[in-house]
Amino acid sequence: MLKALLARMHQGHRTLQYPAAPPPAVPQRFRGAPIMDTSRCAEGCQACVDACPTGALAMHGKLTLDLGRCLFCSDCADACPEGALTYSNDYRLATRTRDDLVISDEPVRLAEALDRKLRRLFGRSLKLRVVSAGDCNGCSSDVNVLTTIGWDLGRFGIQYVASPATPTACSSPGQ
Amino acid sequence: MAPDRDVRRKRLSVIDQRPLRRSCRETLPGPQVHAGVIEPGHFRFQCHGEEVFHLEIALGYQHRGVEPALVGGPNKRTIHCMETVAGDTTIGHTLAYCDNIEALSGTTVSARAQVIRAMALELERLANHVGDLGALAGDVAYLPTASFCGRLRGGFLNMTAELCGSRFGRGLVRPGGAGFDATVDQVGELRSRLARASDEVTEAVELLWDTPTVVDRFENTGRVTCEEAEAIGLVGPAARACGILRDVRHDFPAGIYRFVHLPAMTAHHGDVNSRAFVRWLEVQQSIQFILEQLDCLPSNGIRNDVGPLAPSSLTVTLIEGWRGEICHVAITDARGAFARYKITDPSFHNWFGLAPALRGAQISDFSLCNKSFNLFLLRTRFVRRTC
Repeated sequence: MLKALLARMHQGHRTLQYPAAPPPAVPQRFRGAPIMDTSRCAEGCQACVDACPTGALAMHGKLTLDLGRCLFCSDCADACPEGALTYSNDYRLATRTRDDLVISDEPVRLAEALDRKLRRLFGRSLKLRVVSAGDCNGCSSDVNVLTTIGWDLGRFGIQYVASPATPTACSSPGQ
Repeated sequence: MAPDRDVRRKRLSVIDQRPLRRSCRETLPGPQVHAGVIEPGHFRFQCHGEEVFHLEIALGYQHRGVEPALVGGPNKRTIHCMETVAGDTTIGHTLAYCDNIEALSGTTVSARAQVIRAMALELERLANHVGDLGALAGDVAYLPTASFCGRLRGGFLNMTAELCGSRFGRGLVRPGGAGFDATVDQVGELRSRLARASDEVTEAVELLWDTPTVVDRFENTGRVTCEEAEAIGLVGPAARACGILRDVRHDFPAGIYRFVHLPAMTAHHGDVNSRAFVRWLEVQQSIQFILEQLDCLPSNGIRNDVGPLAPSSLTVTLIEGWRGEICHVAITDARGAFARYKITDPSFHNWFGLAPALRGAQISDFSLCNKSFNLFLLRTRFVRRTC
């Protein structure tokens, strides 16, 4: 018992202050929101489109990148001879609609904060259900991390629930 | 309403009069889509009261067709498929694939890349072992270790992210070497983080062995005998916990493991306690290994070019992932493309170990036993399988 208390003292308080304070620094090599500058694209160049393993990049008059398909592998950035495509370390990528995930020169249109009505409904009680739809368990692992003491999602009233009958939102990694 | 009630009472009395010990098999299904954030699997308990006679494990509710998708490759998608065969074993599976490609194309891998790959493999082992030791503590309601290890696991994932930008090591292992080099700053950063994590993990995990209630729940729970383990063909920490000396790094050393010999860590009771203890021994071993490697990182390049694959050839690679032996087999056709690519995750062998572990145990031991193996539930081909 004494050892457990001592360990508790050593390990300290570890819940992050985020969002009240800035988030922890992301690793230097972290690949976040892509930045595209199609004005640099050479005429007829398709190097990034050809390099993309998932077909996330498309050239229909102008170059677009579908973040819903993107693996953040940076094969496109490596293939680009002009440096028109780079990955920033901005981790914010959530959007309100599927269409907002398709980006070009302009940055990602981030999801807005909940309005008053929704906040009143879900402010302290948002139940989420995660259904695996053929993910590799990478997404599940990181979803589980959110409930550990570091992130402690529960303090915002957000919970992952066991039953598909009760949630207010559903996420299906792998789809 | 009266006749209805009578019928019901009659039925109830029939059930009550069942001879208890004979036809007492009740089936208690576990759901395919279950409570946690995890892949689906179906567990059916044949039990009487709390005692489990037999556990049926039905897997394969989801498959992603990884193996058929690889035929005709390698192409630009192949490496990314390999990185997501099992998300928590990204490094292990990608290493097995790269070894195959390098063998088929006759590519050598520089010593520096070998060391970076091995460090990544050990970091993956550390993250998963530490996370599971915490989860085991959580399963016996010992919250201090559960909380500490939940955070410490993330620390190891972040060390991998320091090397390559991804917590699971995506992009780090590439045919011909490594996708990222470790800079001097990163080596220093890793060294200090690892030393700190080592102290914190030691403190968190040793609480387990100092707490009688935890040891009482761990010991003699989910026993698999050495004979059973041999017959089933268990691999990884589950086999070593039964006293079987089986570790790819020890039996078939390749890469840097040819120069740094890691003794296989074993325990002898085959129970949850042994499986947990083997993992703890491996955690200490892996930390030591990485610290040593950081001190003497070779200085040659990190990636060599890969040529075309040899036609009509077959290669087999084994990698000791954190769950155990990962096996990849590649067969090329006359053009040097994959005619068939077969992946065997260690879970394939070890699922058969969970069933005997639970035999004669209590239903409530299930989560503890299950976590002590912590196996992957998805298949790479569509084959539904019951053990």
